[in-house]
Amino acid sequence: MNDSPIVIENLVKYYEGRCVLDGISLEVPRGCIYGLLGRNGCGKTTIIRILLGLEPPTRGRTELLGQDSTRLSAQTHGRIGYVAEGHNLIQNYKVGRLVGLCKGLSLHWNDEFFGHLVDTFRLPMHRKVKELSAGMRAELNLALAMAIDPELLILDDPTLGLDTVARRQFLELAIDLIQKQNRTILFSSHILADVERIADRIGIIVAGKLVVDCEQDVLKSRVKKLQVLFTGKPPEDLYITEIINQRIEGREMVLTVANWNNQKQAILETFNPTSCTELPMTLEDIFIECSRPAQAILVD
Amino acid sequence: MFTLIKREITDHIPHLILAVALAATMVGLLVYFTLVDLDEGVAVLVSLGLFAIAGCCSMGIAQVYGDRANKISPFLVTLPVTRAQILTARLVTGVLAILIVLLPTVIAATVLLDRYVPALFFYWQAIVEVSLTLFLVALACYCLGLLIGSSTRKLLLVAACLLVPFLMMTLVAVKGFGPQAMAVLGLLILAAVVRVVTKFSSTPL
Repeated sequence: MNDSPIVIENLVKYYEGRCVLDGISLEVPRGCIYGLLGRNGCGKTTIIRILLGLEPPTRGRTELLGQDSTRLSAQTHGRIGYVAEGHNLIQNYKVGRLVGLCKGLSLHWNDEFFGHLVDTFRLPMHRKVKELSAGMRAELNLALAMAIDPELLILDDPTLGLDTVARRQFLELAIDLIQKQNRTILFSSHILADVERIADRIGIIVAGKLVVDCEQDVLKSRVKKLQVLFTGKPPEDLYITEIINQRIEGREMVLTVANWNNQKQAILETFNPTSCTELPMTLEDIFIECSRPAQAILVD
Repeated sequence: MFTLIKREITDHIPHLILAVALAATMVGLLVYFTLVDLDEGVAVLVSLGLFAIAGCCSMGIAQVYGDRANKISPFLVTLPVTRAQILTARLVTGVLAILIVLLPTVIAATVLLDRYVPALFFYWQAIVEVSLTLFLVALACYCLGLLIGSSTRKLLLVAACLLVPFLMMTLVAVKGFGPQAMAVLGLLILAAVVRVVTKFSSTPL
């Protein structure tokens, strides 16, 4: 049996004839914070919903904590904390009642930690969920997910609607959680600075395909953005494999290349560039480059 | 499981209060008409029975409609709860509401008949058949309510609340209280429950 808490094998999902996920395969090792990135509608939430058994896949197989997603037991659900995109809490319940319900249904409930979170987020227990601001709903959802001391935490754009302070608090909590042994986090977000700060491993989905699946450090070391200057017009026949993006302006060519190595460097030098400067890239820059069409695939 | 049932009961407390009130009214009227004039009371009791059956249908609809409107199941399944448990809690609450109305009424009717109309009580088997048929009619209406509740058309929901009880009572009128009606109702309930289970287990939440 696979020891990874999250296993996805050749996942395919069609919605009304449209292919949303096209053969996604990935594994999230135990204790890893996995940042799942992609543009709006690329299928991140669909992957998470299929993983949690909220909807069936068209083809392929997914596993959570060693159990098939389509047959997750209540016990397995009890080991998973989930913060949904849009925070799907029961809107017409008072916060106190919702907390009571979650506490009553949970296999394990850390009262002390939950109390600490309620104080930190200043959550009003007497108000109805629908009367809370989006930020407060996010905080409540997060507090409920954290209170069960989850072995696996799935966060679908959890910081959406949070202010800067609350976002920072959330990230610190997530880091605190990962420091406890064997905790795993699957984290999908549009705020790439957050992902960059906490994720060990990055997955990028473009047009339903997983185009990046590797350690964040490896990703940053393997994707290079080069500013190459030529004496005249840059060559049009510069054939280097795994070019993610290429832009020409006057004498300048800006190249984004995956898996940069000495061989590619040697090919570039045959075109006699006057200079070749490496431009620093943040995760956001890499994400933007990878999200463009015709990208190279970077999978470990 | 108990937490889930408690949640269902709390969410549908108006229906259960109505059931208690209806049961109290039925028992009160039964006592009154038995003491005054049983023949005169039949029409009133049948009307109240129809109202109770319509209530069962509306409870099924309310459970499914409320679940969808408030996104209850999508939240619950992310907790240590399976879809089967959610559905079981729902059905248990529905059956509880039916029993709240039916049990006191049947017990009161049995006691009153035994005391004041012993000639009728002689046919105790008929009392059991009538009670069981009424229970199955109420359960069938409730299960059909669960099925119809997944519709988003409000007009259909209201129409179902009014029509389903009449259809069920027509069935009983044609077949009579007894094994034949019970068999048909049993099959109807089985079909409705199977459909509700398969639909709820396979629908994306």
